[in-house]
Amino acid sequence: MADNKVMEIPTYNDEKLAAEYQAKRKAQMDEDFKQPFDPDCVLEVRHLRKCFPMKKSLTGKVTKELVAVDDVSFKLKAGETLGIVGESGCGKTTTGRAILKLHEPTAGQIIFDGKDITHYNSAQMRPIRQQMQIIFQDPYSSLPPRDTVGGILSEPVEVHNIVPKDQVKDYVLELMEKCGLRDYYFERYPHEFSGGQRQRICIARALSVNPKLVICDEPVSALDVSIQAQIINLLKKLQREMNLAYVFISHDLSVVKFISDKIGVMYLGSMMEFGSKEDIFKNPLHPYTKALFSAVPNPDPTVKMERIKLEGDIPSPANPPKGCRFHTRCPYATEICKHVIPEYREYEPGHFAACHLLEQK
Amino acid sequence: MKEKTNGGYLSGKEIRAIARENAKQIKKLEAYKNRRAEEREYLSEMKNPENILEIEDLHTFFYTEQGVVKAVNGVSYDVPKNAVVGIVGESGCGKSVTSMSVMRLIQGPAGQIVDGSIRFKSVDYKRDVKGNPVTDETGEYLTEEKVYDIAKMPIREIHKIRGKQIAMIFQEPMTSLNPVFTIGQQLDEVTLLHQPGATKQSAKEKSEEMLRLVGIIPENVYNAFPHELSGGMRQRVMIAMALAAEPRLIIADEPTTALDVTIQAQILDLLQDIKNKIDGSILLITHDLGVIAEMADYVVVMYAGKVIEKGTVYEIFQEPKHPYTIGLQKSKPTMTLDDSTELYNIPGNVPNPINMPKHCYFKERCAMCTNKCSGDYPGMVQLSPTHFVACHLYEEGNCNG
Repeated sequence: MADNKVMEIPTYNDEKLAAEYQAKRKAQMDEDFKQPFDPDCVLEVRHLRKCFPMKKSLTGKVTKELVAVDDVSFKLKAGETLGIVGESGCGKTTTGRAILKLHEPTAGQIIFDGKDITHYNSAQMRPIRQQMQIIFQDPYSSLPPRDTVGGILSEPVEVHNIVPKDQVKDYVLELMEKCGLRDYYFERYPHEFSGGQRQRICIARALSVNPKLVICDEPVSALDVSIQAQIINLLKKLQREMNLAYVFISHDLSVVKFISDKIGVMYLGSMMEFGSKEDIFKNPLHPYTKALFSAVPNPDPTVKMERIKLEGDIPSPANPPKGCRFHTRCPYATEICKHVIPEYREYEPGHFAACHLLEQK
Repeated sequence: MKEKTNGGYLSGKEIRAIARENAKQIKKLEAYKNRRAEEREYLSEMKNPENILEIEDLHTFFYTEQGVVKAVNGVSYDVPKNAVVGIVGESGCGKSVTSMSVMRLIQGPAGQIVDGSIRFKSVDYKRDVKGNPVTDETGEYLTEEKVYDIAKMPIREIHKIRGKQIAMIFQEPMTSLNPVFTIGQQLDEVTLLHQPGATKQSAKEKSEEMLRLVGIIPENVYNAFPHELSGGMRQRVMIAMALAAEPRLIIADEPTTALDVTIQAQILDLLQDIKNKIDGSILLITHDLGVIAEMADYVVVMYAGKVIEKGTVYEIFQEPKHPYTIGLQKSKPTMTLDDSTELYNIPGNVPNPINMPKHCYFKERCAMCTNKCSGDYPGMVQLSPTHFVACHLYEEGNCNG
């Protein structure tokens, strides 16, 4: 009888598989690194990886690493916004900082404006810094308390010689007006302002050097709903006027949806899904993306949403699960997910995902 | 208060005058708080016997060096039995201070409940003259129902209510758990303190039952320290702790704000579940309109220390009346919103809490202002049995809005 036949369970040899996977990945990466740079793109990130040492042996050799970002790739054009969403500890902030080289990337390539800046030293980075800026989450701790608003905004202009010295003040006042700050704020100190106004100062400071790329690291998370809307509108207006590219990092899906053109969903250091906003929201492929969207509370009491429940907590990034990072919480996980890392592939034009379920389809 | 001239800064003379006035007020209020009083002095009656908590015209002020901050300035709302009341508002609107006033946790001497009443229907063990619980013939403890006015209670009597009758779930689960005691010790303490005749063994059993109720396997967690748990687990422990004394009212102050969205969904499900299991009400404080819409039966919207609109969840979300409520809902980006247009936003900022104007606090930011708005602060207008709004647009003879 057919039933008597014992189902053959495929055995997974972790070490062998890992070695195979590494070799395959390395070959793929080497090939990708040789590709010519896309001239349309302001920013191109290829297989970015960032590890932090956790333990060192007596000889100073790193014995245990925390992989904060693992194999993240994307392209960003001028005037576009890339939204990166994910839960805490998924590596979205580390990605943003590695792009700015505030963290030295462990592996991978960062191509900014047609130049490979991955191995630039700090002197080489200085002219590049003018073109890439960052807005931090907490407007209370990211402004120097002993400098006036005028001083804060003039300093980058003077350092990078944006305008002649005698025109700096006029330039700064014009910039302040653009960002919705009154001219008499010039003489005031940061502590005199509310959170929303301080975030406007941070935005003005980032834009004072005419950057091409701005990394927005949770710029509205610390703000109230009504102020949040003002800041989002300001960011959108400035993008139109100055043709800026944004990397918008946030955990708030509805905000990311509102501001982004492309969206990347991260989980435990890996990019799970990447695509245009329409693709991601109308046709999410990855189970994690679907669960994430269904977990957002809906401000309409008449609609009761079907929720995909995720059991358990996010595993520690110091000790991530083997195989697919998401398999411990995935409602559709199979045997293969526990052992093999799924490949990050293009399933529709411009729509990438990493999941075994999709591969089987 | 005197018109300020020095570009918004206070002179030394003004600061000294404020300090003198503050010291006078604080001395009076502290003496009232620390007095000894007999129980009948703070017993009261409920206006509606269906309610479990009635807050009426509550004023909680903070006496600061720059002047008096009227954090809660005449707030009134009710919490019916077995209902979830959501309080929503932006930071600094007084939603947390109101709940802290209910628990009498306002940080003195600067913060003081100045006026108003907080009536709470408590069901406690009947006690004899010496304060020992009374049993009937079969050995069961007798209970009795009393209505206390929490605002008038001397601070030394507050343990009758705090923790036992009203429990609180805080926003930051890490800072609310004691890092040097195990979860088990902290949970047992609740039972040992509030349950007459509890033994170590019965307290442990109760704690384990509570942990199971919030979806934790007790064996793994009972002997663990708080730092060994994740944020979501800690919040579950906090909920278990709040439930252990079988409170009649649970105040959840931003219970999911510090959590990730998938963990938030788990905790909200848990709260929904628990609401059906216990015989009590939940007062849910949050700034997230989505959470309110999913959890609450009644909603109170606060702005700058005042209630501006209250009603059932359908009234607030389907037919919001106050321009602030309408604006708040429009300015929140949602998953279904058309994003080609600009996001609606309420211009300006919340007014300075020290020098509040006489007229409606929302006037400077309001898009539907009329001449009447420059006058007095609008009173509460009743639109339906449950729907109230404080806005001149809906006053009598002007009901079309």
